[in-house]
Amino acid sequence: MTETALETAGLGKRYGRSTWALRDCTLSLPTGRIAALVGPNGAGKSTLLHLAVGLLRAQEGSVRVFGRDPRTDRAALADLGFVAQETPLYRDFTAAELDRVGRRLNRRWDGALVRERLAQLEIPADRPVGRLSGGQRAQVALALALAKRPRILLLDEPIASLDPLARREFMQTLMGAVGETGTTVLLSSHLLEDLERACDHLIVLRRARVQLSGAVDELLEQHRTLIGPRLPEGTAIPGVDRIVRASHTDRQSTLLVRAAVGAEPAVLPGEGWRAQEISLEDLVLGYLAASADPADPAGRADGERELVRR
Amino acid sequence: MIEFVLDGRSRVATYMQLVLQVKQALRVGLLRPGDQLPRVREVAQTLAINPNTVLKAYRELELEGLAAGRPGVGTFLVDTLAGPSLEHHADLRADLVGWLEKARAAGLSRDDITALIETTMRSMWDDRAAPAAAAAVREEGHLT
Amino acid sequence: MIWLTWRQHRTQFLYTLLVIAAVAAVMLPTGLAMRHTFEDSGLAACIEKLGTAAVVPPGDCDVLSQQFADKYNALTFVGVLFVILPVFVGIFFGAPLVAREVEQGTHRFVWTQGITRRRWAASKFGLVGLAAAVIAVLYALGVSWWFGPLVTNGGGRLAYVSFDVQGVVPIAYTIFAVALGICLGTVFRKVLPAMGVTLAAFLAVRVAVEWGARKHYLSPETVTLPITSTDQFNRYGGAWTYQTGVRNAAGQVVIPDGMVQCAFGTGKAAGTRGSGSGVPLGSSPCSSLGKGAVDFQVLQPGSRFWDFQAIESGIFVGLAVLLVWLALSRVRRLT
Repeated sequence: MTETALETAGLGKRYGRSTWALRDCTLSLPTGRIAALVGPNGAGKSTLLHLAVGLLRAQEGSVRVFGRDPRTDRAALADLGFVAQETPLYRDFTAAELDRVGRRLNRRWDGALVRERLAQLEIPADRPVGRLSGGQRAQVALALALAKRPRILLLDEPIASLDPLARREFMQTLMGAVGETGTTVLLSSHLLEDLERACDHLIVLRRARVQLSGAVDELLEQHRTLIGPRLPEGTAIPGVDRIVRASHTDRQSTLLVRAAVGAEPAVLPGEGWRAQEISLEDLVLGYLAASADPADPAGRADGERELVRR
Repeated sequence: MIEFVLDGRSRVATYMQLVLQVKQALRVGLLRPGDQLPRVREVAQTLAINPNTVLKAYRELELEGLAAGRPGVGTFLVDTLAGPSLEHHADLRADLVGWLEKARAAGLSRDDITALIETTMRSMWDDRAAPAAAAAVREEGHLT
Repeated sequence: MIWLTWRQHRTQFLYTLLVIAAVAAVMLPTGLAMRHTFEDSGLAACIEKLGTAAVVPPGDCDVLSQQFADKYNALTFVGVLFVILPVFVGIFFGAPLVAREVEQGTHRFVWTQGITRRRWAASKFGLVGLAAAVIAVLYALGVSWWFGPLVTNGGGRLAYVSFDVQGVVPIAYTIFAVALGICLGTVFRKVLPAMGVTLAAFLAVRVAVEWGARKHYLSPETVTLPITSTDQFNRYGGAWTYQTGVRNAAGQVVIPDGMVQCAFGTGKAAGTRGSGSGVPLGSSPCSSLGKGAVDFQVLQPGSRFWDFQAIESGIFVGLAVLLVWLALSRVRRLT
């Protein structure tokens, strides 16, 4: 029986009168997963993460971390580790001093872990973190977050501004830590390739709404690319729950489709059609490029079905 | 101790790549029954991949009878691919050689033969297993 | 949390102590010099002899007073500088407290550790407020001591600006400035705007209270002196004079601003004593005034100094408490 690490129900956050940073967000992330939160800049990724760690207060809906409200319940904070965008740390504090801060402010703190990690990575613990390289600073932030021994780790674009080597090293450290502790992870990025190898759960955000969410294996299984002769718009295809994206030339149609629940994913609409499996990257791009009409009933129904299935 | 390498451009699933590399190592004698496979955590860290992926690969090897996990210690190889198991299939191998000679005599090229085998296999097994099995067959074909 | 607050602000605090020490090192010699002159010239004794009575017999400390003033009045300038010192504590200690945290994004680190925002804010506000209070006490003692002679000689402790650098109000101003800085930091969430608005708001409130409200804390008293009397109003009694004027026997105010002394017996109008814009030079008002006319002063007696201190301190400390409460509730609602 898997526990739910992070659960949101109709979560919404608004700035001012009419700008919704996140709307109608309903998700369920089981424990033990490594989830990727992807979407273009401004899609609402940071907003979702900040709501999940109690930095923001929602206007609508609710968010729960292991069953607790992170905004009001202090015990929820103890279960989660967070690395914010641009790894904000007190720039004139050394890593050793930040370790001390963590020990003072947290009930559960594994300082030995911090020292060990930094020693392994050869990061000096007595230099102000403002004078470390971006990659080293990110590693320090990660070590500090892991020292809480959290049950879920949330990271907001942790590798966005790092060079490729630092990026690789960060992901290595993260995967090693997860391998050791089995922590659930939710990390956001606007670049999918960084996360492809690491993630087994996917959440796609666009324009403040969840476009897609679920286990990577299941999602890849449910979607196919269908290629065939030109199909008139509005044609229903049996066994297909939703046409995510369609592109047509005058002779050919290429459709990204999602199979209906329980249906065979590779059912073809007829002669001359072939079905192709889809890569994770193309799947994400397909959903990001799809016309994301917020009032789209098919899209909304999708989300509901998602909830029911869980 | 085996060191895993991933092909980022291959369409083969990551876990399957690990499985195939273990099998190849067994065939050439790099790994022997009794050897320990690298710890899940180390593999995940070195390759920056999901630890669950490594677990899946090791579980696959266990299902195929090649490996066994010892709780608290690690995962160990228990069987080998070279030798005895291939000996069991000596008859099948002989039949296959005969068939291949017939096919060559009939004028089929190497690609024709491969396509014939694939489509026949596909119609025998269901659609889902086919792509992975076909890829595995292709890989096996390259490795032998 | 104590350690964290100290570590975050220790450089600031040490610099402030350094500045205080430097200023003290400069002010000490001048302060001592002033006191010595005050005592040695006999001015101190002269003033003490007059006491705090509102009306005193003629006898003059004026000459000594003028000498002292000539020598040291330029230093009153320094008084003006010292008056605005509290706002700098507010700007540099209070405004960045929350504003810098949010501006640099470190709130995303510290508010996701294991403590609640309320605990974080209470600790920070409390510790920094305490440090500011300590600094304020040192500052209050220092300026009070230094300005003593100037104030006594120059119109008493209740006068404008003099009042601000004596007693306990400097401490209240400082606490208010820090609370204002902290609260505006939660409103603007960027350090520089918070600092700027803190400065402006502090000045506005101080000016409003000093010039608008202070006069009305307590009802003033009226002291009268017949125009024929040879006594005079005590300039050195520490009283705060609102108005000096002349009333006729019927009680009507004849000269709203000025004093006269008339000697009717001799038949000629003696010169005016004191002055005032209501008594033009060369005129002789004595003829139009009857014998019952009196000089009057509307004033706050010097003995009310501590009452006024208490009231004004109460106002500023009360405002500080309100601002801190506001800041606390804003921090908890901050996104």
